[in-house]
Amino acid sequence: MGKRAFVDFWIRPRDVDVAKKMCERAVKLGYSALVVEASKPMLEELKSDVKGYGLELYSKAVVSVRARSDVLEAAVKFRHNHDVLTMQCLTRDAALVALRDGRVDTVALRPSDLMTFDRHMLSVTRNSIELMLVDAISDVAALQKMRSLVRFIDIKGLSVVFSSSASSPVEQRGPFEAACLINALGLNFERSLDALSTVPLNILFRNRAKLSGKMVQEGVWFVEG
Amino acid sequence: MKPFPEDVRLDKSDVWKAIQSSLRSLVGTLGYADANPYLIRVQKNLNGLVIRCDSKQVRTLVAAIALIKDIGGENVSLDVIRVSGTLKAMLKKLKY
Repeated sequence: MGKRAFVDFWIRPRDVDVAKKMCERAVKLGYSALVVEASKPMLEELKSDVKGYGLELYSKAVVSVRARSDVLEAAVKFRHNHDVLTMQCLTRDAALVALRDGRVDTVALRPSDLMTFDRHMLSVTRNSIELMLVDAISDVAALQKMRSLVRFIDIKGLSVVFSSSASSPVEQRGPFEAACLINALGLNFERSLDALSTVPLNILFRNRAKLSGKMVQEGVWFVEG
Repeated sequence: MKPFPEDVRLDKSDVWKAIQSSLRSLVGTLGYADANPYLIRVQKNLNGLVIRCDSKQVRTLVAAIALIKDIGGENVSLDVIRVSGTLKAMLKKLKY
């Protein structure tokens, strides 16, 4: 456990004070990076406040999409302004596009949504699927739906990211607790740990490289000689 | 294991009931029997709890603890501070 760096891939604080408390708690729980859904000025203020914590902060855009065109528009609009772009799909059509689009980093599948997940959707998936802790702790029905989704993910060997999606410090959990929870839902423990460390770290590394211009496209890098 | 926020005052029996209920809800009665949780010790002023369980079911118990969101009407979470193979090592590490 000790050598891994853990990332909480989604926190959504209401204001800077709450965000600061969440950063303090994240450091205590053992995270080394946080992905924050917040406005640019708020994120800049937060970055200056938590400089001494040894915590890396990244920005995240979460967009709820209903149609195929919404996915494409959102990808154009948000891709170059944020470190991470997550789509929350409300319909199957939107999900089918978001799961394949190379500009989308993760697709948040919420068990509380009316949309159901089927084998076809998961067989065309290219992007990581994001599951949230707040859904797991919300009610038993959501937990049951999450379990069936985790089984699909496990069978298909898809990439999965687990985030807290917390809006207050009480909703945050440590990486070991979170990994144990996904493990209890049916995913191998190593893959559960990867969902909190390797997979999100790779996404962040790739996106920072893209935004800084070092990476032109997947697999194409600028090399300084 | 410690509650968060740390200043919240919780009753020992409420905490233990919440853990039992969460574990039962997650794995059912037979799973609960497999985990066989047992409350070993309560720290003074309830800052921490030590729980024993079957070593193969530690992750299940931790998952059940992570699912707890309120105890006795208070909005809290329980943080697992340390997992150890023996009680002696655990108490040593926690400096009882």
